[in-house]
Amino acid sequence: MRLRLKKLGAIAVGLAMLAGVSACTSSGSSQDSANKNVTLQWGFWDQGAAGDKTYQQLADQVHKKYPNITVKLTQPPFADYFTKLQSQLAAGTTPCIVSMQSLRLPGFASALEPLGDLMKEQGFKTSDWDSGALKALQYNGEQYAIPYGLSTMILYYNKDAFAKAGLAEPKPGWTVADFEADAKKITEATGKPAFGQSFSDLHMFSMLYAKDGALPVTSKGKLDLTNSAMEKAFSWYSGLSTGQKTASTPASSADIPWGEQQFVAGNVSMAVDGTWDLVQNATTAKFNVGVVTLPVGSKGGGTLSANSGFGISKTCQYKKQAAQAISVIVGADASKTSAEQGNQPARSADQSVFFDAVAKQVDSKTPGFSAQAKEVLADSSKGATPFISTSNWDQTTKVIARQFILSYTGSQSPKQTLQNVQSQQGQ
Amino acid sequence: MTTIRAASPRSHVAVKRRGRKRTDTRAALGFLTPSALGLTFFVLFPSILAVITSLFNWPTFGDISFAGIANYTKLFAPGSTFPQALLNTILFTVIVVPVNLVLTVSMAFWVASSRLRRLYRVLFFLPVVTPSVASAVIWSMLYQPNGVFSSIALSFGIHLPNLLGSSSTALICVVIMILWQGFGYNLLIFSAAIDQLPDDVLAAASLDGATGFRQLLHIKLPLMTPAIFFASTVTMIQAFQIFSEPYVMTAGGPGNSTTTVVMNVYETAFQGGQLGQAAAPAMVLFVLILVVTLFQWYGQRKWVHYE
Repeated sequence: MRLRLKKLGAIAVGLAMLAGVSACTSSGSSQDSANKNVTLQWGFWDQGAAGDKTYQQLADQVHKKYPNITVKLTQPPFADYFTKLQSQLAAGTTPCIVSMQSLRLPGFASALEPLGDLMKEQGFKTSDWDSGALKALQYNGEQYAIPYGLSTMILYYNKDAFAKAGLAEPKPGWTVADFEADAKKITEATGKPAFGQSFSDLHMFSMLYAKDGALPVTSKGKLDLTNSAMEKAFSWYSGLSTGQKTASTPASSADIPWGEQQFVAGNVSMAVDGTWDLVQNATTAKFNVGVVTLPVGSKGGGTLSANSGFGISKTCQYKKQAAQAISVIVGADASKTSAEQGNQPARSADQSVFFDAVAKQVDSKTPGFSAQAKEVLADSSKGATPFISTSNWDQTTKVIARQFILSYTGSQSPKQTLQNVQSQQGQ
Repeated sequence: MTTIRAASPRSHVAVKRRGRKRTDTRAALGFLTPSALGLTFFVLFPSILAVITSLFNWPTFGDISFAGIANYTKLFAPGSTFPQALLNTILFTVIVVPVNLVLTVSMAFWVASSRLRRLYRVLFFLPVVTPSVASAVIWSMLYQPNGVFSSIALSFGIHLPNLLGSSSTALICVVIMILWQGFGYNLLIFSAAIDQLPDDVLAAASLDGATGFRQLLHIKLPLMTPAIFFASTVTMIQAFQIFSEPYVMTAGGPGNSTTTVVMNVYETAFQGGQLGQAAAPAMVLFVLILVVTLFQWYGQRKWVHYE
């Protein structure tokens, strides 16, 4: 009997230890009760070597301003970040500070804390920020994340390829007809398809939006791939590889960021990418990079925008401290530091700092790049529409990649492809 | 009157036996407890939890509610990709298992007859110990339109299609990669079985005139059936659980031509955030593997020779 009681006691102690361990890790933060020190986990995605260093410095700055707060930054690749976040939510180990992209916000808003009152306490003023950037991180009228950058989709091109084809470089306001004609000549001159197709949501849908004003999701967050504008625009986009033979098709459905990667590798001469890659693309490519607005189609052109920012998880035990940390991470000093590294800031005051940084980093390699970028970004921002997604967008993007390749390779009609995705993912 | 009876030697032995039995039981319990605890916490408990989860509407975050068998009926609802995933998984298994067995048995005999047998065994085993994701990335690059295979074919004037981008070739390309990767494991098992073939039986068979192919078919292969049974069971279970190779190489496309059940589970749980809905296909796969394994287990009596 005594032995049995001992055994039960040992099991109880073991379970208590297990419970203790889970309690320590469940909030994404830990506290030393004696010193009132708080450790906050900050989940973010990989920003490249230079970007990772910048954000680690920002995490350190939080500790300098608030010595009781230590921020621990983890940065998995972007492709894994939201999958990891799902599993952290399921396991109750969500980081206190959650990085969020506007496209994914509808799916994660219920796991985040509305920031209105918390950020007011930190002296947050909406007038300091680009209004579009703030709006992109709102859901049902509530602010769930504070943006750190501005991102619109633009077209990157290989200046050398245009020269080789005997073409004048494109200017903001160029049309779809201009794009098609140039793509044809570049394909002939270089022997490689001129344009890189993609499955990446922003990269692909922004081109369709510029062409025919087509949007894949309604303003209420419902998938709407079978609207007539989408069918027309997607038929055109698929036709760039199947009919006009001027586009490089992804090798498989797993190659989601195909066009933008092929561009930097020099395998295509034009690709859509975000302004967040402005400095990275221009300095990494082994050719002279130019940028231009997306080609204007039947509905007057335009582009899509998306923003990312930092929010607080609902399960965070130290929301006040997390708000203090965010106020440093997106504060005036941090914004300036980030802009100096070549990241377009969401704070209006630091735009000139950003363009000075672009000039410093790129103009020596490609003269005039910063002036061109300034003109193109201003033009793109004017015609940018925030990208609205559905609550199951992550899963939808996978289905899009699987189905869209069938139309890019010509083995399924664009209309059928759109219908398939709609029937699988339309809720 | 008190009678003092000396303990009989027989009863003394019985007490000794009881004592040893008790000691043995304790030792056995001591050895078994860690495994039993591990099995309970890491296999039995999660399995029961998975069954329970499959009966609930269980989002990653938010309210949980009882769903009954709704998660199972949704698997076969219009627009569901599960039937295609199940079909692909069965197709993968039906192709991979027999081709793998035939190839590895044949190669094992060839390797066994070579003087460089040890080197070959190491070389063929290398893909097994290479991380499958890394291998899948390398094979994706080989299959690309401008990759090695296309370039070789082009040098012979053959234009290959986009191998991983075409519904007609993507599945077979993934199968080839999986065969290459899993080849070394069974080769090692069969090589060991060949080394263990009793020389006296083979010598007797030769004296009776059973040589060459006849000896292979009627003596060697029957003696190897325990190894073949083990390899076929393990390979079959692995084939049913195929995930990382098609996920990295094709992400389940084009269309749903390379989507598998485990991929369906992963995406529903970690991209769709629906844990209950994800547990349902996992349960279907569990039952499928269980039934096929039981079928193999009972079927072995007819063709596996342990002596």
